[in-house]
Amino acid sequence: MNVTEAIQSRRSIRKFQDKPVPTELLLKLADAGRSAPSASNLQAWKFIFVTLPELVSKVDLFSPGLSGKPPVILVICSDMDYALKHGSRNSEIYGCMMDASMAAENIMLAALEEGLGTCAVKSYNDAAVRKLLNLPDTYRIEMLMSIGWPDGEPRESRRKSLEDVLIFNRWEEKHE
Amino acid sequence: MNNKEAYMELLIYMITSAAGLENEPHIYGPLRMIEASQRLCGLMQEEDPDNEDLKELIRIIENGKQKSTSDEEAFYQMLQDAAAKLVDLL
Repeated sequence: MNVTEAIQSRRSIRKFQDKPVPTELLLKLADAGRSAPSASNLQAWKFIFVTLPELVSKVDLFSPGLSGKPPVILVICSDMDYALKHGSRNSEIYGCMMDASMAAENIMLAALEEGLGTCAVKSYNDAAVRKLLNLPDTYRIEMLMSIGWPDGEPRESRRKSLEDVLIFNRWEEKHE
Repeated sequence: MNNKEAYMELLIYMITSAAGLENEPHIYGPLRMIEASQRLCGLMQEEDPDNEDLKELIRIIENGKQKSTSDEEAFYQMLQDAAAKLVDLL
């Protein structure tokens, strides 16, 4: 599978088989994540893979946006203590979130190559997830990601047309 | 899973949904409510496993709920269909 095929075929997976994901695959995903671009090369990200079934179930419970009973939940955090010491105010406003998003896309594409399905999730209760995982106050949760073996085919994705989203050079009124 | 655990799961889902909805897209409100309704249907089904109308209601919700982010019109139609189906359950 080349990169274009991976980009075109990736879908958000919301139903998973009841089958564990080997640790070596998760390490590969973390490696893909840490290889993503990072603003000012800050790399304040932390990749927390929740794999203990009882803990996965609890995080799942407090995350209304999660679905499909994934065997693994990845919690992508930013170490804001590190970010503010080594980065700037912009790291806090947008840099760390941007980095986490780019890492997430790397992870989702690497997962696809292994036959794994993923879904990025922002609907979770921050306080509850933080408490369940015993996260330091200085860690900011950027997103959750369900990871597992897809059960069935995903739905077709609706995408805006190229002409709806593409502008060359200057914006002109006809684009509206 | 016993009833106490199932009710607790539903309670957690409803409260965390309510807590999160303030800053979520508007359509997530009906989405969370219909998801909670489907879970409640599941609990009712345990007490009435042969109820075909309940099974049909669960099927209607299941088939339509994920359309909230891809086909809003179909999603809202599903909510109407689910509401109409309730008449058969009375």
